[in-house]
Amino acid sequence: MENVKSYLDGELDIAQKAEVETHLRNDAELQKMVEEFSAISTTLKTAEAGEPYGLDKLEARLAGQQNTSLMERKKIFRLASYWSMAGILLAIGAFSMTRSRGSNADMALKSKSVGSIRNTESGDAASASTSTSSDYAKMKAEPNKPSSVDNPSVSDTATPATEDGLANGSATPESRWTRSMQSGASASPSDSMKGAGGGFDKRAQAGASSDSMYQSTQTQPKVKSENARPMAHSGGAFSDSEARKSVESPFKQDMRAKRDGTTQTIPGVPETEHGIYLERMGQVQVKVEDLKRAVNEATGMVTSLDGFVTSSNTQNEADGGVATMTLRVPTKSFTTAIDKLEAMGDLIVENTGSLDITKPTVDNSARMISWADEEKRLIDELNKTSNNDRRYRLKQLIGQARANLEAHKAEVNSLLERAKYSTIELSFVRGDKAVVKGGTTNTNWSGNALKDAKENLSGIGQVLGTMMIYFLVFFPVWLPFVIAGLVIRKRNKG
Amino acid sequence: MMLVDQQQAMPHVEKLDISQLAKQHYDRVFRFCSTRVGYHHAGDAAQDTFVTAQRNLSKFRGESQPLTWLIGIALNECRRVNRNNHRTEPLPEFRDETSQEGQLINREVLRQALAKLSEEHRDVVTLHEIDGFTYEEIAQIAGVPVGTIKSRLFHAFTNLRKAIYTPEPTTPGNGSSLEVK
Repeated sequence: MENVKSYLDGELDIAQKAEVETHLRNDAELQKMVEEFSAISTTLKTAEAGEPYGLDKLEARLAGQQNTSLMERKKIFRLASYWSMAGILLAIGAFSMTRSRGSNADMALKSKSVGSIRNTESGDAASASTSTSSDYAKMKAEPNKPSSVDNPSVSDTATPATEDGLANGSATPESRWTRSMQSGASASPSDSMKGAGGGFDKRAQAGASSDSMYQSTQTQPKVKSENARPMAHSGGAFSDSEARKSVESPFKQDMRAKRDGTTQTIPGVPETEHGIYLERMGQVQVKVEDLKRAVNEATGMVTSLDGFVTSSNTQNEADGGVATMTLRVPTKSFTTAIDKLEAMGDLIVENTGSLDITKPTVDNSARMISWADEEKRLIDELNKTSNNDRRYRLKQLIGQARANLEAHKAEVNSLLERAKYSTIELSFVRGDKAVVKGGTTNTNWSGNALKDAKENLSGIGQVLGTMMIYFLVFFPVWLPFVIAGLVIRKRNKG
Repeated sequence: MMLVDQQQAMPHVEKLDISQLAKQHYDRVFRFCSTRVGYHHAGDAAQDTFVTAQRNLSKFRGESQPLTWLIGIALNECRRVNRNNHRTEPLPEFRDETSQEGQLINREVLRQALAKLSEEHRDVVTLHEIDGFTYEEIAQIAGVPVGTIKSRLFHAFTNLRKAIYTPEPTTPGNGSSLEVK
């Protein structure tokens, strides 16, 4: 049936046409359909469209269209170019303004941290350290002046004495002692003497105030004159100093020599050129690729410098990992150790500082020498006395003097040890890529791969974000072209 | 088959001149537009067809004959004109004459029957019967297979025959609206 229309239109091939004609001969209804289809088709063909018109107008439009189209496009693109140039200038201006603001902020930050001995902390750590950087800067600029942060009392009182005495070299050691001791804040031996009761109390009552040992030692000439033992009025050398040194321990002799000015150094203690004893401290944080290896290297380095490791802790190596160590290195090798630690990886934080322990060291050593002298004097007196009561009392005093002598000696030893060895708080942070060097197999390859993938993903996100920001910032550049394109497209459609 | 081999038909695709196309095909495009938008709007529609063709000349790849390509553009232009004028596609006008060859159908009845056809069927009937395009050409214009065109044409004629030759039930005071002349 569907072929009836095609048959009428002559669109059938010979076989189909024959088939339809066969049906037509036998099917009256089909014949009727063909006749009616034919009538409809004939009637439809009588549709009239009218005489065409407007060809001349069309030709004129086509001729003008090319020129108009070109002119319009040129105009639109010229306009877009102007806008884009303005946009570029605007973007450049905004960018340079942003940069200048950023550089000003950097300058402000730098000016805050000027004078910092070494401070390579980044981020919050850097900002947190700026508050003390100026103090470190002062200390570095004037190393002969103790830091007021580290030891304010020293800078207020004891420093002038030590500065005048040691830096200028003009003042005598005795005056240095006197001035230092007068400003001393530690407990006076005479106090303990008072507590113990006895002859010292009487001497103190005789002419010295009770709060200063040196005032009590100034009373010693009285006693000594009684015993025909001349002694320098203000802590000077004994007249029989040679004989005294022969019976003293090497340490006492060293300290006495120090006090008397015959030597400027204490054995085993690094003597600074300014005569200041410093306990140096450092804090170093380094990013390394292999924690165990870094810990081993640090240990080896410290050992080679005659230092030692007081504590070491390595934890959570599989997930980033941090290793902390406390190192004690000879003060003379402190800078070398810091430099070597820096070279072990990427430096994150480095802070160095010093604690001036000159005053307590000199103070305690002076007291120790005084007690040693007192012990010697009491022993001499004991040897000359036959009165049993007096001898018993002298023995008591000798015991107290020895106890005080040992206490001050221990304190001095401790201080000298602190000055001899510096402390470095070291921490290693595992770096971005934990690649095990030296041909060993990296057992944490999967964790590292995941970490690398995350970092790369964040990197891609950062790049996309940067592109988006640039895209938005440079909108005055591309927007005119987009608008021009849309306008042209719309006009073409219209 | 009026379509010739594409390679032979379009040996100089790049050198198509819109002025030459206008001279060759303006009449047929005008008549096509006249049956769809009316005689008064046909001029504008036909001209817009060629202007649009000029803008899109570079897109013509020679996959069809220039006339069918132009008719495709004209079809969209006619729809746009009707849409802008807020009206449906007008029905074609028929000459009031009696064929020497046989019976003709009442023009008004035929117009009403055409109005009842779907747009697809009416387009196929118009393109084939009035505009004189072959099945293949209509398939290219409409973008459908030739078999679809055959089927649509048959069903369109079946619907026309039914609308024309089957009397509608009469209502009191209202005679039959269909009559065969």
